[in-house]
Amino acid sequence: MTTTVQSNPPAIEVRDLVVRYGGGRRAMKTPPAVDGVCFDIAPGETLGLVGESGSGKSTIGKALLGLQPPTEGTIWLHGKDVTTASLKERRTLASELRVVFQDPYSSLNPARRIGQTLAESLRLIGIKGDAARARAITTLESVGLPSDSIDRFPSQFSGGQRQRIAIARALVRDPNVLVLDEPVSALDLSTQAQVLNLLADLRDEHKLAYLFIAHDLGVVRFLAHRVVVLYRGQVMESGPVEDVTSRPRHPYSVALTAAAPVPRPAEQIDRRAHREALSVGSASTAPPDPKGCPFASRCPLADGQCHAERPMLRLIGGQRVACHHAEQVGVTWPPPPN
Amino acid sequence: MSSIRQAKQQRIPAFLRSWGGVFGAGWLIFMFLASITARWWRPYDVAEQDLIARLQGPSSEYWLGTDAVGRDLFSRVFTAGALPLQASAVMVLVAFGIGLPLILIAAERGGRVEEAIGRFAETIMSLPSTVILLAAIGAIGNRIYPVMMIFGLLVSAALYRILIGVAKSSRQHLYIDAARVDGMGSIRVNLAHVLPSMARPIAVQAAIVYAIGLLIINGLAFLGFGPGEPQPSWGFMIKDASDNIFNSPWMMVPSRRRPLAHGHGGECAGRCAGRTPRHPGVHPP
Amino acid sequence: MPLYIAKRLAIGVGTIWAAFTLTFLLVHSTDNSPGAVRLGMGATPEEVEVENERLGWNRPLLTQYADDLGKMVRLDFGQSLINRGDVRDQLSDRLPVTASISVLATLLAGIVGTALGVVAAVRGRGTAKAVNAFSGFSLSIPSFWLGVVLVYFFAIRLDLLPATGYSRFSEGVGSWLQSLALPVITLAIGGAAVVARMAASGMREALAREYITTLRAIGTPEWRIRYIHALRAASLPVVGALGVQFIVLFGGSVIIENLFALPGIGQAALFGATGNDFPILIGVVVMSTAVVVITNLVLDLLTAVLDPKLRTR
Repeated sequence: MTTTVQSNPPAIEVRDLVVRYGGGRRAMKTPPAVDGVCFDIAPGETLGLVGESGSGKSTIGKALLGLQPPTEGTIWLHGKDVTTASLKERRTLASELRVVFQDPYSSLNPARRIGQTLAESLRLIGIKGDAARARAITTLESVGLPSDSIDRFPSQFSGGQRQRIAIARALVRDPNVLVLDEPVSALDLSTQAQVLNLLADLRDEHKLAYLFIAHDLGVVRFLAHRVVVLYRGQVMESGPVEDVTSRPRHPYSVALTAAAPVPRPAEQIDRRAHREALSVGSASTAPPDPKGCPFASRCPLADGQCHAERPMLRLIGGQRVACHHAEQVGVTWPPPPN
Repeated sequence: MSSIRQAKQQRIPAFLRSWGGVFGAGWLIFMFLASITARWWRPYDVAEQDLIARLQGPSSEYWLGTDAVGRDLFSRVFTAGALPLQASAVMVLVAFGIGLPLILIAAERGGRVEEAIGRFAETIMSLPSTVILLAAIGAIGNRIYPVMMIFGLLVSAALYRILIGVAKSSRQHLYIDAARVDGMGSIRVNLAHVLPSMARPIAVQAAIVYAIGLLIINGLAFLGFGPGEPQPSWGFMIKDASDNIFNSPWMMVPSRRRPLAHGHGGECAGRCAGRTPRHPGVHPP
Repeated sequence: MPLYIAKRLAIGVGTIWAAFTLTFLLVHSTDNSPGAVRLGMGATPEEVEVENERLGWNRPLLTQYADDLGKMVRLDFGQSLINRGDVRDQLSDRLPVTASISVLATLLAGIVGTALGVVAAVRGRGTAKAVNAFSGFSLSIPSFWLGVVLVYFFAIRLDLLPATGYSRFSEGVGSWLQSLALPVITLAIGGAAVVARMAASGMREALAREYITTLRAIGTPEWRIRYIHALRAASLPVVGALGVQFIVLFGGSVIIENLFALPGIGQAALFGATGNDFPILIGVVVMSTAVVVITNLVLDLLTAVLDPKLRTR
């Protein structure tokens, strides 16, 4: 990751982000939800953030949005430090940084018409009345909804339509960075594709930068340019999405790639055998040794060094990998499927 | 089309969708208006005595009969309503005025703030309310409004205990987070999103607490802490009736009707709104 | 577990302190003074002033507060302003009366309420509606009205039970129970309504669980399913409700004692309120709060012992 170019700062820059939940002495003993994460997103670029549940990916999104104060580290938005900006101070910034949440049933107030929800957001930046209504209608049309949606209630829409409304709510303030927190995981497959296509079109049309949070590598592969793989709040591997998905260098990324299901039964059988050959255990509840690699307890390649020494991110090929045995991955391990 | 009907129905409160609820709410409104306006339409003055017609049953002249000194029970029953109805309303306002801000703050801040407020509420809730109210009367005198305000303080702790869960789950909605990302201030988020989503449980609790307030006021009047003779009060009328129960059992009937009607109206409206009224700590005496 | 007990104990002590402080502030916020109360209407302002001085009423508020608080810790509430007797002795004479009313009423409410709740959950819709109507009715009638009606029927019309008055336990169990019957029934009906609702919803919930379906599928007799398995699952919330009921009924006995002329704590509270007898008022509040706190504590421990999920705390 190159240092910031003064003339054209990244849309988002995150350095050494640490987030702990709770306060006091007891919280200091438990491992943080996010532990020393760095990444940046160029304008118009999409960064995928993947990991299983509990990996801290949604917490990173919340920290960016100001919903969860970071314990340590810095967040820049277009070169401006917003780490400690309160939600109110963010009101001016908020037009630049917006969010689409996972659950479209919970993210829209059921008692308010769509127009009211959109207008509420506009009123906070001083756009009221007919101007707000006109802008709301334009935005709804741009996400593929009829203009009369504005006078309806959320209960009158399907999940996919609601997610379009949530996107419209994000876009109505004309932002240039969007945090997408698993925006399609709550939708069925055919709707997922529609919403993903819409997001891709909007990105090209408005030159939007996305932080795309997901647990499904397939979805990330479709939309993201680069990807960051998280495990227990730490970056395991990051790099261009093609490299990470087709030639993963970290045992955890290998397991994630192998876990993605495919719609062809014959291939699925092969992949199951392959997955079992990896012998990657499932997540244990015991916290890992803070000195060692967080993945060591599940990793088939783990040795004494892995338990004793936390691996740093190293540049290998096109990606950065935090693994002592990254050179072996893809060469002597995993064993080829028979 | 059914979705549109559904959306329209949402604007009708749930408790008005059943006959019991409509009856309870209608009865309450009727009684409230009749009691507040009683001084303008009552057939007799509350102190007017007809010494020939004492302890009578209902007749065309005295619709609900007369008491021991020949005063018209119909006029007295309705006139007696105004004070409890108003005092209980003040109590409800105090209870929610103290309770709701604490609930909203605790739900928003969580952690130690919530723990501290919770401890405080738990302490207040363990105070025996009837005894405290008598102590208040003994100390500051038989003044119904200040006494009911103290009762409101005690009730606010029970409200906190009941509604804190509702407020916390209401804040779980992602639209709260979305509004905060919009840059909406804390007070505005609470007023625009959190409170409206709690409207139904708040209404239920208000109805129950209001009914409990009426019962408390009548209980105090029964013990002799009412507005004082010759002003009528329901509780004292029951007391009066019980003193005359040997020779005129009829008096129990009209005197009981009012407290019951209000207690039941509120209880019914509350129950029909979808929740069995269960009030830890506060209960009619 | 010891930490849990210590925490509950600390909250209990805090509650008693809060009750004392609240009453102290109420008593000291009035124009009335203990001297005036003690000497009565005939006293001149000068005499009242001398009496107040003697009672220490004119000292700084904080000094009085610290002094009274210290005395309260030693269970010394001073002398009644009206009858000059020791407050602690008077109240400890009265406590057994109130305690027996509320304990008996709680037991009765528990038995009747559970029975009604189980019947409502097990029988058809008609029974459930009847029980629900009964509990709705009982919850909304004032207990004092109900008490008068019961007196009318059982004491006056049928002449089965004494209308008012108290007979000591030492004077014979039979007459003791007779003198308490009407007040206990009056008080228990409201409690039974609450317990019935809890028991009914608990039973319904339990009967809808999947392990009950499993029991049916393997041919367990219906009575065993209902009265052994489901009732056990429903009993924990009912026990909890009973604890709350005891506290509610203890407070409710204030009115009932006055209706039936029983020499309990509630009667003392009423005398104290009518006569502005400050020491009695503070004593009654602190003692009632202590009863509530101790009951809560015992209940917390009981639930912790009964509920395996809480035992590890």
